[in-house]
Amino acid sequence: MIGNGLAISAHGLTKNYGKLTAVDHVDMSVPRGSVFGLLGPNGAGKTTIIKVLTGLSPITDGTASVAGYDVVRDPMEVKQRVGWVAAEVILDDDLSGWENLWLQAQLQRLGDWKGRAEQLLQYFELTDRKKDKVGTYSTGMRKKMEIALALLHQPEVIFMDEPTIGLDPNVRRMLWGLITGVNKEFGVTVFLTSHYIEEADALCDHVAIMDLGKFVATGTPSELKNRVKEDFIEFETSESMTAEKLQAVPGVSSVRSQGNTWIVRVSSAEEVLPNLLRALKTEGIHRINVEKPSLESVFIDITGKRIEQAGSEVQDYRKFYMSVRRARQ
Amino acid sequence: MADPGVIANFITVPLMFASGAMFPASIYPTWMRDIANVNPVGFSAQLSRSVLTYGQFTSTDLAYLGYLAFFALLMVLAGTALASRYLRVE
Amino acid sequence: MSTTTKQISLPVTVPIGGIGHTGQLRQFYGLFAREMIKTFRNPWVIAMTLIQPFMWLAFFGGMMSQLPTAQLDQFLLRAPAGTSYLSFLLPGVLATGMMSIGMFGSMSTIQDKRFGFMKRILITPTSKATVYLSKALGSAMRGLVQIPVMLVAALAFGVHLQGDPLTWAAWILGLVFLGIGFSAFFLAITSSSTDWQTRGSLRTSSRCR
Repeated sequence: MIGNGLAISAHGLTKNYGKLTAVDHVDMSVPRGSVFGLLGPNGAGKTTIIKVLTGLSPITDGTASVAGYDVVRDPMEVKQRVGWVAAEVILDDDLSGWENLWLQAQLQRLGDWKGRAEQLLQYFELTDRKKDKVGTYSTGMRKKMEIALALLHQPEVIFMDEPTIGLDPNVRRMLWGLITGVNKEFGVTVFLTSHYIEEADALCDHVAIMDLGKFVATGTPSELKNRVKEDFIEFETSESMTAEKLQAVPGVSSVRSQGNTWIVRVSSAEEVLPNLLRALKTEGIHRINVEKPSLESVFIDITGKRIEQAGSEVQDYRKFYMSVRRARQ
Repeated sequence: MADPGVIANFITVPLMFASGAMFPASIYPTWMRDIANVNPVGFSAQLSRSVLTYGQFTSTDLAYLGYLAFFALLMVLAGTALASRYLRVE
Repeated sequence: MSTTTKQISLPVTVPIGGIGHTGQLRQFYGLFAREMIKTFRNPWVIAMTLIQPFMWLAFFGGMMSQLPTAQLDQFLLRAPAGTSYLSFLLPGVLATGMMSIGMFGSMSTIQDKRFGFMKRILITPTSKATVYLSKALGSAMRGLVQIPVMLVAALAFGVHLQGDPLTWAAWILGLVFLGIGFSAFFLAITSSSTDWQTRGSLRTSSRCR
């Protein structure tokens, strides 16, 4: 057993796909029983980290241990102790809920599993549908089924990749409750990835913000938010605006721009906004937005981009790279 | 790894036709007969034909059966070795 | 934030068999059973694979029955008098059908990769070899379904079948070996691919992130 009793630990973890570095020398320590969140835009490398930590993808460099076992040396031991919930729900639609559980029990070579399976179905309120094919379940039920499957062999760590992506608000609330329940009532360490700031903020004990394969900030949500003592004002204006003009406005500490969009860091939005509007009177404002400190502000602060924005450019690159890879086969 | 669709056609068409499955091998040109001599599809067809059509079972047929068993074993062993290494996750 | 949330104590499950043989056998059985269940719940897949041999019997048989008897005799050589070309053809169609089914069997693997189910399998302590073998055997089993169907069809076309139980065991076994061999072969050459279609087709894989 290695890893200092941590649920997950990694040093210099790196994963390259040819020339593309998906995970760039990441260090991480996730204590047992905690909920750890990986927050970042699409293409940041969040899913890749999960693949690498669970042995689905080979590590290029660095070391990692999960549930006390080295991912490279003892992948089978790791796999016995982890559960996984995919972003797109991955279940066998031809099989019933009970049959999916049965298959999981065979693959994990479990002995006496039926009692636990029944109770899990009860916990997730799926008992009366257990004989129906999973293809007939609603989205929320499918998500719950996946979590039940992941808990059948009582893992020490559950990896949840973008657990609430594409869900409507009700299902999302329900899932948040379940995730917290899984952590507190089942005592499982939860490692989740997300690009939703509120999710990371609400659910996680520790958060790592990730961009382009690197961890750019780590800490508890409060610690991270405290890093940014200032507000952000984001606006779009006409072309004749310059950084100097904005810098001259009292209360403005730094200015960043992308085309016609400006992100201005100010001591307090309430105080500076009037000055700003006065300065912009001649230019006109197309769109304006005020950000109080949040995890997104930390992201903007470090990378100069919004989480949504950052995602869109990188995604094309990855799609392009994937198509190159396929053509090469 | 080359395109499986291409490989599949390269393999299946000769095996299907140069086999004695559709027509007796005696009418084949030499090069097709060479394929037929090692073609498991053909051997299975000959074996089945021996029993079903001609009502007999000779030592040659037994040899065919042995060859087919060997073919199955060889493919399974080679395939397991290959898949252990190359089976892609996604 | 944490109040007195009581820990749930569910029955504990214990893996048995370890990474050794008992464990692997269970994994194999689970995956193999899954292949069989999926086949029988999607019977149209089997129906499609039966179309080809059936059509061959119908068309080739029909075609050859028009051939002048002299030429036909040249084909049929050792056969007892009055043997139709169909009875010559049937074994060939069965054998070729086995090979085709082996070829199509590899498609189930590619489906699994596409839908991400392969990830779900490989995130458990199941070896790739076990996955491969379960699919190879599953494909071979699917091939066996065509035997009774084609036999019935042949009888319906008036073919006279000979042999005794022992020799029948032999030729059926031969087909079993053929099915296993080709299933294993086609699965092996497609194990590293994800795309059955021609290369260069851009798969919009939003799943790959």
